[in-house]
Amino acid sequence: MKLQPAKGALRLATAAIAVSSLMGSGIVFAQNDNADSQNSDSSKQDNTSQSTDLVQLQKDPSNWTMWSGQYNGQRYSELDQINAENAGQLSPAWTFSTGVLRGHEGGPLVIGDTMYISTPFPNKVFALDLETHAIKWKYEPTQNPQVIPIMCCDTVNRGLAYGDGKIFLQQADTTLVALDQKTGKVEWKSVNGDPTKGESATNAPIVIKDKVYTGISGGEFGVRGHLTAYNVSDGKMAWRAYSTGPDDTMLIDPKKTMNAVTQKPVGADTSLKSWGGDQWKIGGGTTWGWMTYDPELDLLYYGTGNPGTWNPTQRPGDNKYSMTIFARDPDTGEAKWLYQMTPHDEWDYDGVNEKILVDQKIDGKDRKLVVHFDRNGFAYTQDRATGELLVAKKYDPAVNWASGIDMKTGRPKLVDEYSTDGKVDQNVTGICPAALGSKDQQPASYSPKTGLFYVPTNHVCMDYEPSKVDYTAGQPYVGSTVAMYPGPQDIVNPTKEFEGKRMGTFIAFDATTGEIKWSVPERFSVWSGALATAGDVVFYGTLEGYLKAIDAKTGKELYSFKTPSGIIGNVNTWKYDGKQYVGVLSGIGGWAGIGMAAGLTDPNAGLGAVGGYKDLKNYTQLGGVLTVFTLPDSVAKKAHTSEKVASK
Amino acid sequence: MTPTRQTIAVTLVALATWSLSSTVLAADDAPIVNDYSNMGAEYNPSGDSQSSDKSAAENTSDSSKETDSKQAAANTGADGKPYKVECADGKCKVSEDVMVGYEKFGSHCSQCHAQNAEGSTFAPSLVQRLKGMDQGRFTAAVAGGVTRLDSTTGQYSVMPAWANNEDVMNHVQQIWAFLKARSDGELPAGRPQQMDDKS
Ligand code: HEC
Repeated sequence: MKLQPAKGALRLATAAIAVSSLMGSGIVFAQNDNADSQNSDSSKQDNTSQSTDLVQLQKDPSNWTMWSGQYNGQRYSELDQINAENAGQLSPAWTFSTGVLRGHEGGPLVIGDTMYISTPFPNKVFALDLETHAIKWKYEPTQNPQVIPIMCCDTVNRGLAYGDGKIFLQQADTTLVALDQKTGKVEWKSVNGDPTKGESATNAPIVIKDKVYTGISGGEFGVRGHLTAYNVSDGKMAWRAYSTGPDDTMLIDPKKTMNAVTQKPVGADTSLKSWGGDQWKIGGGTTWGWMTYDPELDLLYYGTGNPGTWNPTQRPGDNKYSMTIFARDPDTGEAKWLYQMTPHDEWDYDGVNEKILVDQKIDGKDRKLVVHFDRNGFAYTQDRATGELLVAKKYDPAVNWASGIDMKTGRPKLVDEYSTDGKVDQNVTGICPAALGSKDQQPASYSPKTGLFYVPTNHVCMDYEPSKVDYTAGQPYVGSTVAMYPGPQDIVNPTKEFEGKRMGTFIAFDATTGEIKWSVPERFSVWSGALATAGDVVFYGTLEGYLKAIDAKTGKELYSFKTPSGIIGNVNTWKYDGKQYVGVLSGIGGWAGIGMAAGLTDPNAGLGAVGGYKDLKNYTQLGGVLTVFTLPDSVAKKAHTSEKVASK
Repeated sequence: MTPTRQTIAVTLVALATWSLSSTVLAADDAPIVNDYSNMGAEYNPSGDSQSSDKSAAENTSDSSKETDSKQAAANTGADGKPYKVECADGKCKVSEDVMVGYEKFGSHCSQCHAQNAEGSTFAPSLVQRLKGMDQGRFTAAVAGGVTRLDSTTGQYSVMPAWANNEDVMNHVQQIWAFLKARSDGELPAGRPQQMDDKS
């Protein structure tokens, strides 16, 4: 939401008394950012920090070194000890409670013999010993609780980054912290924004070479989004690229930065010209999504969120560059190419979803592609060197706000009935997808073996009533009332029967043609990040709390286990001491938890009637727990593995 | 526990929290504060942006409607209830203040308390909380917010303060009317319809 977890803003308290004095600086630091060093057993061989070269390290499937395993965002692992034949014999090996309620997005990092996890606010970090499962160290920042309500839709944190012997945590209050990988000691902290202006943070940072990159949340508070690079060594800002405004502040070179659709330079001040007056200063375009990187092309990919208020009538123009995919030079920040998916957004279809880098053939030719499943319900396949738009197709047949994408102009072909522009105080009904998007932050995966994307999706529609809103710093800047309900029941090649109304679908998708291959119907939105493996097993979690393993070819369910709480985290995998493990954080919450925990009303069943499906709260309760799965030793030994022998 | 006592307790906790955290800045822990100036634009929107905003939206704001609804709010039902709800055949019609309350609740409160005020993983059900809550306490909570450290979970529960938000404070009566109708069980979940006459 911007109700998205945390694009938030701050509500300055009122009686501004205590609060304003407190938050005046916007930064409150903890008194004891104590890294309790517990039993850090140095006798254990730490095979990790030798390699400072992340490009190499990420290729070792024993590790899970960044949010998606590797820079390419594929969330694919070469490990194949767990395969489609034996996955049915998986069972939980160990668990760990984070002690934090609220929504647990993101997933564990594994480097050598240590796992690193972070929690929602207050953003604890734990380093866990994979041998003993004991806590090696923990870090708990003290943050001003007044940042909580500006993270409007839950205090999620999407996980950590690793590089150069440091673990990076992006705190909710926008402070970026570097912790010593071995001890948890604070190496430096850098302040990236100001919560009194509605700025907060939920994203996972990413490390490339000597810099660490982070984003900002607050799309519902009139924040002007930016991507910022800090030096890994000392935390000083290296560059910052805003999402809106004058070219120089956006690191756009009007003569060199390419418009992906026209394949021509964008020209001067295209952002400024697409806004009325000074509105770009509260123009949104926040950067709370995942980032990916291509080491060969040396390009960093990410997207920007919704423009200013949700009331489109109030902000005429294309509102550039909200809702845009950017490819940037990670050293200088300069934008190489850009493409705006949803000009002049009218539905809150943030463009932040992960940009997955794959090499596939299109029309018989090998292409370097970037594929992303946008909130707006279209899957975009582009050449990742130039941005050239190759395929743009709906990945949920329910999508109705646009009939398609005009491949010449790159613009959506809008359907008047579902436009919310010029309709202040009118309730526009039946828009699909809902503001949650056909997919939100939950990252998809890709298997180079099958050539398919595995995409966790929402199947939810909405009524949207825009209203006039005034901007006040630190106050929500939304201007819309949204009511959400399950989408229509059409489904492409379902893998099984489903009774009742579904709100989610887990699909296999061919991005070279834009076709849905098969669909697993799910009762609720699938809000968990997927994992694909060389064992031809695909994993994901459900809001009810099931961790599921399915066959990568057919979608047939191989294994399912009910974890302690709903899953909105990402499923990750690693290898330790000869065995493959799969781990996921449970902990219901996030926008999905907020939007659905109380049950959605069914517009077709008459006023007030609640549809014939049970509330999410009948399935799960709050609670952050990590669950780790593996095969019984006997089964693991028998598994024939073709893995390249890892360095372990 | 009476509502009043609870309020006091909440306030005390909130104050305690604040004073606690205000001692928290340890000098040796000073963060790097980068220089974000010279980036072409003020970090913070200028007054201009608000005026340009206003002009862009001038024709959309309907101030007469607001006045109307304030009057409607004063017209509480004869039974002393702040709302009027008439249901027949599963469809409910409501007085204008309830309708306005529904809309304002939808735009400012529903992202935490859920569309139908039944609560979420983030904030409590107001359908429940309003039972036994008087309007004074409601208005105070909305204006001042609530910051509470839950001692059993060790976690903060924070309700933002709305005193600086005109759109909320100008309609706090209507939001109350809507929530009261929900809490009293007279208005089912979902989007109501407005009564034709404004009696
Ligand atoms: C950012 C999330 C958030 C938003 C937005 C929000 N609330 Fe709350 N609200 C909370 C939380 C959390 C609590 C529970 C505080 C506690 O632990 O007692 C709460 C509690 C309340 C209470 C009960 C206070 C008491 O004394 O028991 C009322 C009344 C209330 N909210 C009304 C509103 C109204 C009206 C709005 C819209 C103008 C609103 N809230 C918007 C989070 C929110």
